[in-house]
Amino acid sequence: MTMKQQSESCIPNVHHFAMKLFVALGICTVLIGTVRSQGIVQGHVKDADTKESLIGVTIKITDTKLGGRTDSKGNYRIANVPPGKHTILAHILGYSDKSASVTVDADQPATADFAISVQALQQEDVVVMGLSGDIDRKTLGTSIGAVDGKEIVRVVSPTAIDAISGRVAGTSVSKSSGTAGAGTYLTIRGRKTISGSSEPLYVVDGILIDNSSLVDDHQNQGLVQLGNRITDINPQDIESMVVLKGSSASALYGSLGANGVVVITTKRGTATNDITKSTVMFSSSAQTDMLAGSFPLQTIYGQDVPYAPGSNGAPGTPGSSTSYGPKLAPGTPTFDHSKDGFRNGTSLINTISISGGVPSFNYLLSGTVEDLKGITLNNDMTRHNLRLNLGALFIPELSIQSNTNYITTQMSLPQEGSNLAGILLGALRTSPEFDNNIAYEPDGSQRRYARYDNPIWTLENNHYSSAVDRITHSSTLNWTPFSWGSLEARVGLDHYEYENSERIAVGSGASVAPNRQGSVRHELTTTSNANTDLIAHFVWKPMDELVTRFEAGAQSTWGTQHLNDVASTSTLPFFDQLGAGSSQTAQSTELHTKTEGGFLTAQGTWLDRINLNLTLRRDNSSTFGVNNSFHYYKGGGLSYLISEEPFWSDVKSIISKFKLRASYGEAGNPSLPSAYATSSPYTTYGFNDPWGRTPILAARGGYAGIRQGGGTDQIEIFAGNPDIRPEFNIERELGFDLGLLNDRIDVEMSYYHQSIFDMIINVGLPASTGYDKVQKNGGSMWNTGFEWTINILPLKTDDITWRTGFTYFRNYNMVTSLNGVAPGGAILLTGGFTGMNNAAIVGKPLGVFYGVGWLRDSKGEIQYSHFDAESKTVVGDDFGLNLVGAPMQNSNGVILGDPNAHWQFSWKNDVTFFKDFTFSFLVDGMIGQQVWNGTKGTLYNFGTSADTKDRDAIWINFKGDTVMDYSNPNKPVPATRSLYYQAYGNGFYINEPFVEDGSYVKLREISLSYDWHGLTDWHIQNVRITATVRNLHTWTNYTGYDPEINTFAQSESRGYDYFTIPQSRSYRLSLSLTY
Amino acid sequence: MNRANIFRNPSYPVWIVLLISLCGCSIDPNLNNNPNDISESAILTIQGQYSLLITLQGVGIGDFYSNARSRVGSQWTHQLCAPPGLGRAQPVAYDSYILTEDGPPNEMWKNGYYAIKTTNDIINHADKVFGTGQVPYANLVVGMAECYKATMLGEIAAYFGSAPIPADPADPLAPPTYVDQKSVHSEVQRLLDDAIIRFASVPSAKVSQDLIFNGSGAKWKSVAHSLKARYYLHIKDYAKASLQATLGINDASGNLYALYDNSNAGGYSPWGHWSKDEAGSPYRAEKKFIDSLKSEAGDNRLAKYFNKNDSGEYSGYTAHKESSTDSLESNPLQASTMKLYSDYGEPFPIISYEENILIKAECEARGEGGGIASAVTDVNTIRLGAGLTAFSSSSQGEVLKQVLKQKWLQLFCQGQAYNDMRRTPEFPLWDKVPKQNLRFIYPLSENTTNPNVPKNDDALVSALLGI
Repeated sequence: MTMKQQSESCIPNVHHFAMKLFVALGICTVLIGTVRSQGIVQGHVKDADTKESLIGVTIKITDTKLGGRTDSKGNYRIANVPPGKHTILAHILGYSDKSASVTVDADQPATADFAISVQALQQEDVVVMGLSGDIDRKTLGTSIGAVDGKEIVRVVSPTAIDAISGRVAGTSVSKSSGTAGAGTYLTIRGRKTISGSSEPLYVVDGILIDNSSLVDDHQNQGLVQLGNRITDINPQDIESMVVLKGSSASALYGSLGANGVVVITTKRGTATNDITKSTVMFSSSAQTDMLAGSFPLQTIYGQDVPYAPGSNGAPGTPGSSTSYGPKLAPGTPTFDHSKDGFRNGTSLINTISISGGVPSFNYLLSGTVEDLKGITLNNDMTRHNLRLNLGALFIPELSIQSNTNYITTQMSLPQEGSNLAGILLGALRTSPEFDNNIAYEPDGSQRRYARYDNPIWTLENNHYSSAVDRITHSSTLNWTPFSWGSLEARVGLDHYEYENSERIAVGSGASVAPNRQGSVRHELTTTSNANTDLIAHFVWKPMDELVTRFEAGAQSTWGTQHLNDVASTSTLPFFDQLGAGSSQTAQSTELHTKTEGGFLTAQGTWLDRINLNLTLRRDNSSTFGVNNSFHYYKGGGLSYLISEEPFWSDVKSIISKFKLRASYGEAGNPSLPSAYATSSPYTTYGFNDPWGRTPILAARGGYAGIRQGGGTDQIEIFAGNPDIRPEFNIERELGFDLGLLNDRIDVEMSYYHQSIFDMIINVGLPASTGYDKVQKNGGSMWNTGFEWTINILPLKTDDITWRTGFTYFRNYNMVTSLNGVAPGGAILLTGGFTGMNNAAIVGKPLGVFYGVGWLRDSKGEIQYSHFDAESKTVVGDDFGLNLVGAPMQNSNGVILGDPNAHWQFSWKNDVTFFKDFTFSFLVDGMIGQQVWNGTKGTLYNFGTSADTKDRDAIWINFKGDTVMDYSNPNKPVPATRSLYYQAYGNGFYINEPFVEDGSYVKLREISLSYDWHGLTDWHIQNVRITATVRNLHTWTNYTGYDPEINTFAQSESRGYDYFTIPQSRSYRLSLSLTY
Repeated sequence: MNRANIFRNPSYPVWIVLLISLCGCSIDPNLNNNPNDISESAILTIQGQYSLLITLQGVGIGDFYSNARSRVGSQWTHQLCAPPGLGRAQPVAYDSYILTEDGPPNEMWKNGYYAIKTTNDIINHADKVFGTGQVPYANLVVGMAECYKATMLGEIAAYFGSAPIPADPADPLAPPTYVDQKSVHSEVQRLLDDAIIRFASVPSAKVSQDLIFNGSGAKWKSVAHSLKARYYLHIKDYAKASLQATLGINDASGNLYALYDNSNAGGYSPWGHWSKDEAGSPYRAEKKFIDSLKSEAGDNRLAKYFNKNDSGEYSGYTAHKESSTDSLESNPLQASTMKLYSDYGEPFPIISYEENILIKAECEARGEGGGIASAVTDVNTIRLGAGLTAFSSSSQGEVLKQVLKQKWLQLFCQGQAYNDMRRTPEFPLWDKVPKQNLRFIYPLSENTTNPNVPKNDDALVSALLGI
């Protein structure tokens, strides 16, 4: 089948599906359209304390699918209620749910009025669970995390998911860099995969949102920090985020659910009876970001061969790269290069929204403009976001809600990481006596201390711009023809164009062309994902004690991605299009995937205290092996609310709630198998040549040659595997929820164990097959862990309310098998450096550092060079300098540490005083993880690290012996530490000394807000002023800038710090007006 | 609603049918055909078969024959050396006859079996793809593929001993089994016999995808006979080798080359890349080889193979610490750099008229064909071409040594000298043989993945060659 035929094959399916849907709806309307219920429930909802009417309260008849909302006067009315006894639930954010029992007679309105109280601990009772709809939290057998929109807005970050940090036990959140536009890596209950991504599935208003990080040379090398695309979602738009942590909750997403699911619901308008009532909200925030952290450098010694200034207008001459020269003369000016290129970025964020509705229509239109300035020169991010959310009720049973979001983002990203044009790479290597602020020679060329780019010059001349144009849309049709059943149909679309343009300037050290002639590169990725969901909801109450609920549904997802990459080298310095270069290259790729899923759920509640839910999903995906087309995922949860038992009443004043829960779930990894792993393609390239003759072409004599293997990668020839299966995660969870002292103390504990099978790994093939590797389901591992969440209301008076909360999370992980890998062998994870990788090794946590370490004996003792008296030679000196007592290196990979945190915690406080003031702070910490301080290791080589100040001291080795120079065996002399820094302990040769404790505790957020109601005469209901600080302080023993960042962005290689820009400290002042 | 109501409701089954129909879940299996690369189905077309053939004629045979195999073979027979201090340090290990399993054996093995896979993609499919109406075309491409596969298997057997002979396995990714060296050689001869039959019936019109001989069945047939002669020689079957050599390549226009591309960096030859792009031109002339070329006046191969050093001389480096009073010979920088094969696009011979005539000469010297007199005539063809005077002797030993010496000098970098060195004590460097490996060790890519790999055992080679 040709490519054209393939792409067309998807399109009729979409139409076919939609046509089926609407024809089916029509048939069913005809068949059952005359069925009506006959009762009415109505009432009024008010605040129990203030007695004010509450608008927008959700009213549900829990044993039916019927419901509604209160209008602007706090009234509600629900028609077509079947006669009989029903439970009515009133729910609104910030208040405790309240239920009432009513008996409905045919044609006789029943009344249920509510006076509800502000919730003590602000924990949502009803959570949005994605495919299975809104679920009462107390019925769940698993732990669910939630963050509401008010908290998300308060976080000083353009990335909404940063708000999960410290707020949901079981999650690990780390910002990859301090660059404006950098990504955030989020995992839930540990890492899940060797070859794919451990990041969760994101669902926004039912749309499966693409969260790719651009995987190309740049990301793999960490040369610029490209964000993952969940960062496009505007924090201002979010009503709530729900984190489905366990597989039992995410099992309904089947092959997509193993990493957990983050279900994001955006804000929408509220239908009211008052046509004149609209809510207009305007907020404006000003923000300043500044460098947090520092890197200690020495200012005593100068360059070996100093930079030589020119004379008479001639340019100067760069000197040697290293600063192992003589001590600088007294009075020589020195410069703190750890601050080169940094600035205080000033940003502005404005949002306006208007929302409202009439009984049959609701609307919200919002727009946000963000103009962010990063902490380095020329690091900017501008994001415009326009969103329209519309809801309509066509006929009493049929409503539609649609959300359309357009986001356009432009970013200017700095060069960083392992990059000869990197800011920190150039800055931190610079000798202390060289002033980088003078970045140009008199002739306009770059002024640099050595071969690396001057950080100021690279910021001004090496440009990397990134632009994203994204549109997401969802339309959800709800049809509720019966009190016991409804049908939900959804179409979701996520489309974006992502363009990255890089200019490596003429004269840059990063220029790949000869003679620093610069390069231009343009890369355009177009990604489209679409999903259609069709879900039937049923409620059945076979007896008064038992309420059951069922869902049956189908979900189809389509994914396409096109990548066009063009570049030219040997360029003109003043023109940034392809024509600037004399050597031009281009390549293109495309991906197409489709997944079809069908699912069933059943949930039963017995006497409001015992809940059982079961789920089953069947998936088929184009990426599954043709011999393994269908996969089934089961899930289930059981909870027992013991405190609702009659016998509990005696202790209820002390233990107000006690729930035991258990759950089981199966799910697959959303990122694997990757497209096309099943086929063995051919390519026009030749075979690998280990001596750098790349790319070798198979073309000869005017004809194109082909051979087995895909792409331009000549290093390894992959065979397709027609048997490839999705990775498979089974999770078991046990836990309890405890409410004490009338729910003023709320405790939630969960224990989970995940068994992950069929992990996809690259397995070597004998070259005599004609291939090198094949992807196979050959790995397994487990995660097990504990989560604690404790929320306390220590103080509640008329004037002061203080809420405090703690989370604790500990995850253990171990790789248990890697079939096809020799015992003790390692699979290196994507990313990493030559000689320093994250690896999967049986018996070890996934991702341990694996690199060059000290040579040790069987007892773990470091081995040293020694003098052999018989041969009168030095034995074991790795660098041939005749040193005795020098530590020896093991050039084979050894395990050097673990980048995974041992445990995490957070402590959150909200104090509301005098009703209108709120003071909050959040402290979070990750403890026990290690970070490879590659920056420091490299600076040992260059002699700028502050550690190298003692270079002239006698070198005492790790066991306390003086290292001796035996160049003259008859007269050995002590060696200086200079040799250690330049050779034996140099980060270019050995990694072990630079794997450090990366534990940290951060004062993540601190904020004070004031609500002022003094402008009500101008119809401005509320004025809120908020001052917020993020990352105010970090407590850590880490000796680099920031232990939280990662050079390889959101890749599965974690814990790398190689000249990567640290996170910023941010101050924000916000003004918000609600009209 | 109570239970009775639900199940009395006529719409309920409709809902179930509706849901089941909507999740039909059929996905076109073609959706997972990779659009970014050439699909497997492409090789089942005539153009696909030709494209595979193009690969074989360039990098397929070339990167196998003229790469690690050639590099190490020429060093181990003292034609070239890699002195310390020039460019990459790795070649020093070759001089010491130390092999690592992830080094050159890995490279030679992988490139060989990659290309064998390509030959199999032709051998297994071409007859069907071309169909009954295009049998001559199928004969040509299959015959060519068989010649290439025979060459690779023959050299793998020579360099490694036992080896797999993958053909058309039911499970193409299962670890292939190994057969002994003799069986590999039998397969080589079978392939070439089939090729010879096929070359008898090829298209009369020019086939431009045959970049070597434009579809000439006669020339390919001669190549196949010469290859048969070479691989009979490897196992000391001199009678058959002699017979095949008489049917082999009879002039230089029949030489088979691997083709490279001077105009495109992606098509550069390995030797061109090494000579021009590696810092310090790490491969230099070895003293013993230069001394041999200099031992008789007028040898034009000196100027053909090497560049003069800064002193205007052809100088070889004393890689094996030979005694020398010439200071230039112990200075790596003064050792002559490569001239032959050092251009990026220079074709590399796979089998040639010169090799064929020297195979014939050796067999004759051993009593086959026209005997010693014919051997002298044949070896003089080479000598006169090299600018030397005619050689004359009736001593079998002298003639054999002369033939093998000229083969060593003539087939520069072609790796056959390494095979000869192990095979016969008449080889000029025989005194070195006991100290040297008889074979390459099995490579890392095979040892870690294939449980069928036999032990590294030089005795197997020794048994076959009787040494």
